[in-house]
Amino acid sequence: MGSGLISIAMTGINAAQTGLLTTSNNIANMSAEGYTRQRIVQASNPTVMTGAGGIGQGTHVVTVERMYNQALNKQVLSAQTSVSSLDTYYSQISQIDNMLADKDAGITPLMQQFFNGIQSVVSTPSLISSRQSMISAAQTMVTGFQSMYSRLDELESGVNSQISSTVESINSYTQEIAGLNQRIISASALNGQPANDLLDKRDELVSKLNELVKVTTTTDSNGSYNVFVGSGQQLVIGTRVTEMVALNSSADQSRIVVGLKGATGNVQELPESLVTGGKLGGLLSFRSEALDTAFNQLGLMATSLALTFNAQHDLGLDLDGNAPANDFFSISDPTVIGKSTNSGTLSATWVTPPPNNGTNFYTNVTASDYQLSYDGTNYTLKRLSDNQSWVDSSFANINTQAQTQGFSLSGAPASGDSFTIQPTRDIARLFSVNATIAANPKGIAAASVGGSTGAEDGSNALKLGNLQIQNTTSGGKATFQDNYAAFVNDIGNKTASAEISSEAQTALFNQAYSAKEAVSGVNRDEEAAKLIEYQQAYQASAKVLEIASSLFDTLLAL
Amino acid sequence: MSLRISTAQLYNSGVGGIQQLQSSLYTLQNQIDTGRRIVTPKDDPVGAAQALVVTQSKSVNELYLKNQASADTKLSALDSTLGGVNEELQNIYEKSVAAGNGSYSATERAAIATELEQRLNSLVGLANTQDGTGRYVFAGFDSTTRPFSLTGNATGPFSSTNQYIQYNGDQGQQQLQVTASFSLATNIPGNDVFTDVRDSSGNLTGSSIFDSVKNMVDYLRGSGSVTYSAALDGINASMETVSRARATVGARLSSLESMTNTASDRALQYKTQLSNLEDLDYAKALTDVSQKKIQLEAAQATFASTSKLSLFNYI
Repeated sequence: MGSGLISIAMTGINAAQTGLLTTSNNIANMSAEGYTRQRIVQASNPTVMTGAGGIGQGTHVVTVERMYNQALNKQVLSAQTSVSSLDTYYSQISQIDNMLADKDAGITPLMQQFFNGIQSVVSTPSLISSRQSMISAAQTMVTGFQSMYSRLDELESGVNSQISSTVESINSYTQEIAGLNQRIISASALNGQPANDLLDKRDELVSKLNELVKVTTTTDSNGSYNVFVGSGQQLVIGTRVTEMVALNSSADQSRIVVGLKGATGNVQELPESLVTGGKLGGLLSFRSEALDTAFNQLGLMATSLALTFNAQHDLGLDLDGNAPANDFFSISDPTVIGKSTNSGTLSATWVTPPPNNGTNFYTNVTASDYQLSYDGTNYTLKRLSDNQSWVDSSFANINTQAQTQGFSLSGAPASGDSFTIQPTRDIARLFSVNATIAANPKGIAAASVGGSTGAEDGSNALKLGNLQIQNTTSGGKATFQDNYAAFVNDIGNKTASAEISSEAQTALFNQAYSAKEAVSGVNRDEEAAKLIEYQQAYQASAKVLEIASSLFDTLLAL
Repeated sequence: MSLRISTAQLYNSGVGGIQQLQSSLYTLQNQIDTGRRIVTPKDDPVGAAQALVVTQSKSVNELYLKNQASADTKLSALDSTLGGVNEELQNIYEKSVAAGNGSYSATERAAIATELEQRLNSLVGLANTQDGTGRYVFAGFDSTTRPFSLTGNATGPFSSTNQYIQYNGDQGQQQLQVTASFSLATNIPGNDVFTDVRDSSGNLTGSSIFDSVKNMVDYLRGSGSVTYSAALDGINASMETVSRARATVGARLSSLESMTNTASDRALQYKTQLSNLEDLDYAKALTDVSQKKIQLEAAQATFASTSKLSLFNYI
């Protein structure tokens, strides 16, 4: 009887001790990242059936349970990846937003000064100093465009390098997860109990990975995590890892895109629509939604200004009474990028702007990129902003369509070729005043042809000045400033909505996180109470031992 | 179902609330520092776009005001030059009328002829007026060439077929853009004032101002090739031509005046519009700041006192 008492008391002491160990572990790890609180699960030992009834045999600890809820955790991950993505997008686009913030420091005042300069030539066309001041104002303006371009360019380089470094981090996490899969399987195989700290560590890694790109996980029967990205592309299967690669796009060598390295070592590019969520998703969506558009809008302004101004300028006469030998503004041709597998050729030039009811010139150029592909029978020209496409078997007809978009195509695409046309993206970089005219202001064609044309004729300059308030862009529906205002509005809208979405997602994340914490988080006061509980249980069982011992002594004393 | 809150969650939500309030205060501070309601376009994308468009309208309007002032200066100077021409012609006419009095002797007539010759030179000088930069005012577009010069013809009678002074300029009208839809001519080509003299019915007389005056001089000196009445009529028609030119200039100046009034009104409107779009309402901003400050202080105090509570203090 004494020994039964002692052994029962010992089970109580052992259980209380395990409880104390677990509680103190919880307290110690309260601030540890990714720690899930643990508690012991006690069960009673099998009863011994006797003539006097069933006698319980004490208790044992079944397992140290990790208070983890799969569903709640998935909700947190899902909200977390959206928050990361939106935060990254917001912090990138704020940089463009800030760039446009001070309207006295942007393109607007430079354009105004240029048009002011034109007025001084209208007023005193024979004075070289008036002409010189117009040229200086023009040069200051084009420099303003160039410097805004280089700011955007810096942003792009930053995005490219962040994509590369994010991919590196993703790879190191997936490697670690695969390693942990291995260790968890072997640790659990030891005595069939879950390796709680390793499980916590692995979940923490998945959470960190999820902050970089949206991943989904499934659990194998042997307990290892399989990690997928996009629409089911594998990253981790058991202990096998697929490496993610940041590489130059085959459609545009200057662009860094994401791909997966296959078993044979070749890299498959991932379409950007599949890489969502997390920092990587945020970077990619910023680039395609905001940055690419910003480049194109800036270039569109420069293009419309240059083409319409040049068209009006070409109609005039310079101070020597000659037709101008050069365009006033120089801009490069639309950019055409061929896929690396192409064998044919394609190039593009600008369409001379048509006159609008004889009052002013205007352009049909848009801020969209285009794609031309040829399958051997048909040419397809697609406008990428709204996916409007034109199909024709004749190159000449396709070119007619292209001309409605403001540019003209020439070349000989081969079957299977695909070309990306970026009309305005690169224009602001090399936007400049013609060097010959800049060196000799007499070259400004301020006078008009016909009738009287002396040194004081500023009638063509008058028409040049009026371009500022005429509808010169968007097919003759908007002015230069309208265009710029639309650009600023677009960026402001995108930034504001990113901010609002980010706040909304953060609120959702906070809710999901507190739901998870309610199950998995350590509450210090709760642990304090548990300490007391297990301490008293220990003391009670110890008291039973003491009594058992004194009973035995009594027996021995007989 | 009881709500369980982990200790970490307690700290996070407390700190999170404080951070949000700090961020709101930071935004308000920025607005107050810059005086702008729209610090970056995201604060009001539509307003930011509108502000840009209004800014251009305002600047273009200022440009028009500047051009109007410039036109006013040029036209006023033109008017005063034409006034000088008229004065000379007036004197020439009076002397000519007096000299037509049959009682004057040949010597007296010769004296008047000399005076008229001087006044003729003065007229040529006025016709060749230059502006502050040395540009000839009555030359049309050909402002670097002297518009009126001697032909070298010495024998009268002088007319458009036998000119005494020729016009070397052109018909160019210098324009300035004074409103969005209207450009104003700021000069009158020299031939319209001096060469193509028209009578009161508007018909060309065939003699320029200089021709008529020179003819009168020749008559007074005794040359019989020209009649007194023809020369006098020519001088009279010249005065009417100059009057008409002055009336044209006067009409332009008065239309400028109303344009300037309109543009000045517009300038004020644009300024107000921009201010409404962009400027910060300081009263509201400062109120917001004190409100947020109270919230922040309360949040901080609450956090400080609740974070001290712990069961471990009692066991």
